[in-house]
Amino acid sequence: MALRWPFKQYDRREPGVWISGAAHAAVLGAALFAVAAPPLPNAQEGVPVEVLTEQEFSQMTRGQRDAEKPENTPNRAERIAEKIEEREPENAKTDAPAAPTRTADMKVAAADAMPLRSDTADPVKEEAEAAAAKAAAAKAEAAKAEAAKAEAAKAADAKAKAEARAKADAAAKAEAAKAAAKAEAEKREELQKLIEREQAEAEAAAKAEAKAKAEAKAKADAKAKAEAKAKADAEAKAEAEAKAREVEHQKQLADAKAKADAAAKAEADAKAKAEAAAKARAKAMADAKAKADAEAKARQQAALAEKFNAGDIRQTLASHAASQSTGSTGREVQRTASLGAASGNAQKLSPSLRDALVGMLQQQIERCYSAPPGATQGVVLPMLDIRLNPDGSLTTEPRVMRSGQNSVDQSIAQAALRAVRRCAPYKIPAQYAPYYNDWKAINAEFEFSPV
Amino acid sequence: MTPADAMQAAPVVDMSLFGLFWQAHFVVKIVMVGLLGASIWCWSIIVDKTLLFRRTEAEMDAFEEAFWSGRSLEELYRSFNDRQPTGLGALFVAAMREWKRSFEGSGRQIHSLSQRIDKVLDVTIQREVERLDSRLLFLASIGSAGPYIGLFGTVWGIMTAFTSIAASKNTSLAVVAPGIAEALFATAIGLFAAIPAVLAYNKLQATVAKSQSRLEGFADEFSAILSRQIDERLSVAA
Repeated sequence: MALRWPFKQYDRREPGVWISGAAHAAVLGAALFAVAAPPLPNAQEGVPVEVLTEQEFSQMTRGQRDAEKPENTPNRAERIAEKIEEREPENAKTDAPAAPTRTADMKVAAADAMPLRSDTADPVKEEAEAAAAKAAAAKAEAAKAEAAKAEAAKAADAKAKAEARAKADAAAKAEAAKAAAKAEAEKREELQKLIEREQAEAEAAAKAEAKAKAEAKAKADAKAKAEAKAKADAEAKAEAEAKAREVEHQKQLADAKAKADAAAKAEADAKAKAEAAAKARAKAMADAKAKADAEAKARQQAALAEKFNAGDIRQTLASHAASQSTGSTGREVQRTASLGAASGNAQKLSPSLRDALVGMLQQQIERCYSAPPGATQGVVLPMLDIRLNPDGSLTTEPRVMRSGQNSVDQSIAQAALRAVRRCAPYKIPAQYAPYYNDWKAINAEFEFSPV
Repeated sequence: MTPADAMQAAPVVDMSLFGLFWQAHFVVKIVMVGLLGASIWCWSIIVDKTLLFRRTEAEMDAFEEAFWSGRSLEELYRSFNDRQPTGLGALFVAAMREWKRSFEGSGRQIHSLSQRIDKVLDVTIQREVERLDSRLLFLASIGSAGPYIGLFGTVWGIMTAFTSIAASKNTSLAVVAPGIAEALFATAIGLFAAIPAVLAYNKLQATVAKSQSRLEGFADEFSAILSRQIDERLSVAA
């Protein structure tokens, strides 16, 4: 082995050092630039899983009898507050603001749109209310007129102009009744027309909505149009109602002059009826419009909700509203952890006692058990979960904890469940009473004769 | 420990070749650099020797052609003597020089000339083979020791890796893996140097053996020719 210093002057007959060095440099360079290992994926910590048996689970959930008794007042405070302040959510002055952005869900969007809908519905409602108030005023006037009329009639009677006047009254009454009937008919026709028009327009609005659904661009326009139409309708209706009311008013005045009690009464009734009908219609219309509006709004909201809206979140974060939570302070400090059930750590059944009890139960259940067809082919015994009261009755419905997969095993399990239900309450000897906490939940495999 | 903590604990690992080298421990770095140098030196030997053997082969072929062309030995000697021949030429020149010396001067030392020529041929063969054989042993050394040197670097690297694992109190693969990968990189370089060295050593050694047998064959042949000449001259003298 001759380890000479290789980098003497270049020898044409021995170019190995230079060739080798150049080749290594080339390979290293290629490896550096071409062979880059992919970055490691993020590490995921494993979660240890422990498998419990049924016995272990029931032991764990049984509770502890000698545990410290939890306080009756569930006060979860860690320290005493300097200033007692109960800020329960239900007593808050203002509602908690909704979460800024939800998923694109119709329900959620509708919930968001609720205040908007009430806002848009308000003018319609106000109109309806105004109409009602007017009607009430008209009624009051009619009543006054009637009272005046009655007094006038009395005075006239006293003057003994009764007969002549009665005749005139009758004629006037007939005329007034006719006029009233006519007015009523006109009003009804008008209302009918209005309603028809409104219905047609509502349909048109619905069509526009459908179109808007298909055409995302035209949606906003169509909605605006529908709203404008609906508003115009409502206004037109209100005007028509006002006219009708004027007609009625004049007619009432005429009636009052004519002193036609019966006619006036009938008319008032009819008017009230008509008003009620009109009101109902107006309400229905307003509702329909509000519904259409809400739907459009909901659709818009759903479209908006799909986009992430950072501005909303920022506003929510920036709001300085007082917290609704009472925090970790309270009137007094709770030092006791709430442990287990109040009656825990029961005496346990010995295995032989347990077997005897299960045997007794099985004997009692078997009397009510009727084997399903093909039960001889059953493979897996059903394990039942039976909850008992101290007197032997069932606390809750029995459940199947484990049964076979095939239909025969499952039908056996169901038959066993039926038998358990039918045979309750069970006779449990008094010697088992101290162990109630152990046998109040019994998980056992029951074997019944298959025939 | 939550995954986020694990992420925090796991060092950010550069898995490129340069990153693996740069993050390694000082000792491991020395091992890697040494192995890289050994690899460069191995390949330079391989290139040099391959060229040398090819040249030697060509010279041998040329000499044999000239030798068996029917030219006289004197003429051949004159043409080869002045240009530092190698291989078969060196054998021929050495034997002829001994022959000439024996006939020069006053006395003719012809009796043991054949033995002397054999000795001279043997020595020349040895010298030639040594020239061919030189530095091949380095290939053998690297071929056998390279993996061990790399393994030393790996063991050292894994030791430091485990130390850092113990320090980070986390056994997730993200913490364990980079150190081990980095350590194994040393073994990779050792194998990278050793595998070509072993292969080339075997190949070149076989070529040397072939050349040696060719030299010996020629030496026997030439020695036979010369001894026949000597015997002829002895019988003439007698």
